[in-house]
Amino acid sequence: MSDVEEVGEGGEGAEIYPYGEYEGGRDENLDRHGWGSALLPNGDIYEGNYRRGLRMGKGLYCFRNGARYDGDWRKGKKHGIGTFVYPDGTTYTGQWRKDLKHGHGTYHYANGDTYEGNWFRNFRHGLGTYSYNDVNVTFYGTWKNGRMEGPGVLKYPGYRYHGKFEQNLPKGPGCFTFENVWMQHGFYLNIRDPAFDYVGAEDLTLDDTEETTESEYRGNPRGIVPIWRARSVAAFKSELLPPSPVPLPYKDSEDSLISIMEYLEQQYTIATGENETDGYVDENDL
Amino acid sequence: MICDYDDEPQDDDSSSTKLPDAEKEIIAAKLFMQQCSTLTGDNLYDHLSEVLNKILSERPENVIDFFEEYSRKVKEKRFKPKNDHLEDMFVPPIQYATACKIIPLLKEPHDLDTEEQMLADMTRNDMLQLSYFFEQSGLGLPKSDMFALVLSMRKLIKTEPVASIRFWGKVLGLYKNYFVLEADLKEEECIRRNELLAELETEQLTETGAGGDTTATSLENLENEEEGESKGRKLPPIPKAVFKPLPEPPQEPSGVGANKKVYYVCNEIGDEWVQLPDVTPRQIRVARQIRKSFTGWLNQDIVTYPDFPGKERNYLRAQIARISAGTQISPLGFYTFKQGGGEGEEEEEEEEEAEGEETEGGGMKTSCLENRRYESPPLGDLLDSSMSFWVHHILYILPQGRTSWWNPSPKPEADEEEAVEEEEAEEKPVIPGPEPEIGPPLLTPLSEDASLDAMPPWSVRISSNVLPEYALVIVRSNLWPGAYCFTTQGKIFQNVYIGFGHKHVAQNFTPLPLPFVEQDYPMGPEIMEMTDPTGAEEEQWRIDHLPKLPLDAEGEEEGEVEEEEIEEDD
Repeated sequence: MSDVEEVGEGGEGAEIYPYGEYEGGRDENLDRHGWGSALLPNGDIYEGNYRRGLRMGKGLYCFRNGARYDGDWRKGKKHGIGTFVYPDGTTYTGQWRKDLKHGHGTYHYANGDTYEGNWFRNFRHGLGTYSYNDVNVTFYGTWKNGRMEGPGVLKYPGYRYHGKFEQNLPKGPGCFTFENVWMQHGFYLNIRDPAFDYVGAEDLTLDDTEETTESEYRGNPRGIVPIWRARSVAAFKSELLPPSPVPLPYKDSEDSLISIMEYLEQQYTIATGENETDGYVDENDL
Repeated sequence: MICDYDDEPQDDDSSSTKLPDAEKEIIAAKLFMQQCSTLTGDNLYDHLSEVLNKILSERPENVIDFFEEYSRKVKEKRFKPKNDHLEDMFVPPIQYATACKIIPLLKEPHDLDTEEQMLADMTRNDMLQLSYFFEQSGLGLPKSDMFALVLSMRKLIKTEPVASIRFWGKVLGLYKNYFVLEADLKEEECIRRNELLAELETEQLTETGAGGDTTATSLENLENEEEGESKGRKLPPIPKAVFKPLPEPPQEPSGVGANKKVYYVCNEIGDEWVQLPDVTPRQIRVARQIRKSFTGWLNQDIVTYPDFPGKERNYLRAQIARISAGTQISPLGFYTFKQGGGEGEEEEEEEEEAEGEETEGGGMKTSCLENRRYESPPLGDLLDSSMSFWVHHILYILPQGRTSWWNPSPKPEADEEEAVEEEEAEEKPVIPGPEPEIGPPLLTPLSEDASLDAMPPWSVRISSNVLPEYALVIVRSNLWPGAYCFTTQGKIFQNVYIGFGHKHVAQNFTPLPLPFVEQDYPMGPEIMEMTDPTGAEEEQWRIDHLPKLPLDAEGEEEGEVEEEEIEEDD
């Protein structure tokens, strides 16, 4: 803030206004308040509701690169239900909490795949369904931190696989069921892809180190293929199926009492009109 | 047990000399009573039990007075008149059905005219001779089937434009089996088909082009709507998911590569032969990834992961192409690339194809001719387990699904001369392009074949160790169980496939691993919202940039106020 002020002091009179454009309501502190349309200093556009200088209520935020968020805001953060269109054309529609994807939502990926299910702190977490668009396969099961982990069901055309997953790959004992008539028990092994044998060993080791250091990578492990080892075929019995996916218990922090009060206050102001907000200013500032 | 006591005194009376055995006696008596009458086929035991059963169930009074009546009634009931020869439905015996199918083949008019002989090359179809060799090698079909096959093949060549024909094998299915014939189409027919194919492709191209336009317009509409929504400010366009599936390599034209031959199938000999459609590279690629039993119905849907593009007839054709490419072998030297005194036409063909290949697949030879100066390798060499005296005479199918590699990102088309120049000039941009897939060339010895799981891909044996002078050499593919080749000391050889149409898998089938799970858009500065400037900041700037007017004092005051407010905010 001080930097800006210095610039302002030192600049000439013909200097460009550094705060973009704004049309809309302001409160007694001259903060943006009520409905407004802003062109932000970096070229982003926001059109929607403000409350005391922060985005609150419904609003559309559009980035310079075309990405946009249309939905609920609270205290200047994405919070509530909204749709985010990312610069690569993928979209997320669902619940947000404190700028993070959190709750129930659907993500449409660039190649047509979709994930519908639970999110926790920006990652796929909990029960979710992932549909592979190209190959007509759906996965239903448990996700942890953006990856398939734990029990899940893969639905192929004509048959299903019930089993456990680790790092997006099936691993361990499981069974294929064929139209609920037959089932084949066995287990999945995760082994090195023979196709990767031709790749220089150095590249692979590099990859490994990257994976260990790079905690952001949440895709499939590279160079590993799941191999199915069948053991027995039997008539279908539902009690022989491996445990089915269950929702993950996770603790959501409660909305703090203050924020609830603020929310109620906001509702009140919306109901009574903006003119009467003056009476609450003191409380808020305290 | 109680009976035993009752019976014992009687037994004593009848036979005093032998020690009686009650159980034996009862069995003997029962056997006697169960003897069937030679006239009616009834026996006393059943009759008595039926009569007693009837009496006990009806329980009439004074049964003893009309016991004979009961016995007669039961007998009467059992009596079925034998004059009921009329049946409601005519069920023809199975033999009759097969006979009906084969008789027309036998009645087919045939004369050994030269014209008929010109129809198609049937020289390698002496099925009776072949069946003898099959028998020697321990495989093959019944002789009657083989004979009927020749007849139906002879019928087929009169109606279909084929240049040569051969019995390929038999593919076993769950409900019905397929007999498969392999044929070379006549040249005119190939040209006609390729023209049709080209027409279809152009049509598809125009269709897809039209489709693309409509999507584009719809997207434009969407954009317009979006722009209408924004009040005042012009929003940048919505980013669109740009996902281009990999381009699909085009089908090889008939007469080339995997579509070099056409195949006719039927479920039973005497049925109409059905020509299988030409195979597409995608079908071959998917067929490599799935494992599905044949049912015997050509129009059966193939429900698999990944999706197979087509019906069972396409799947069968793809498997046949794979089996042919993998297992059609000949003794070394039987086929050769160039022939000294070849006919003009053949040479031209070869040249044309060679030219075509140079542009496409890097100068690989795609066809071979029969060697006229062929001398069979000695028996010992043919039996050599290194298999270096046997060669593939069908082109290897690349991972792409074609025998010649198709460049998915081709250079802009130009005249041939220019193209050559460009090739030289554009060597640098070619390097980052996709690396062409290269397979083993034609007539590669089997010793070069890759083994699967430490198992040799081929086994060879001799039909008789006692009489090696007349013995056959039999080569068996271990990768494609059911594929055999035999040769009589290298003179006559024949490839045949009799099996389920599946490749060998060492352990068990594993479904193709799923594609990678897509990742969310990563957090980054480009999608972090900016906080709005506070009113205080804006006001400060405005005050700082006020035109220098005499109202300085007021401005300063305001500025102070703002600063205080800012502190409070912090």
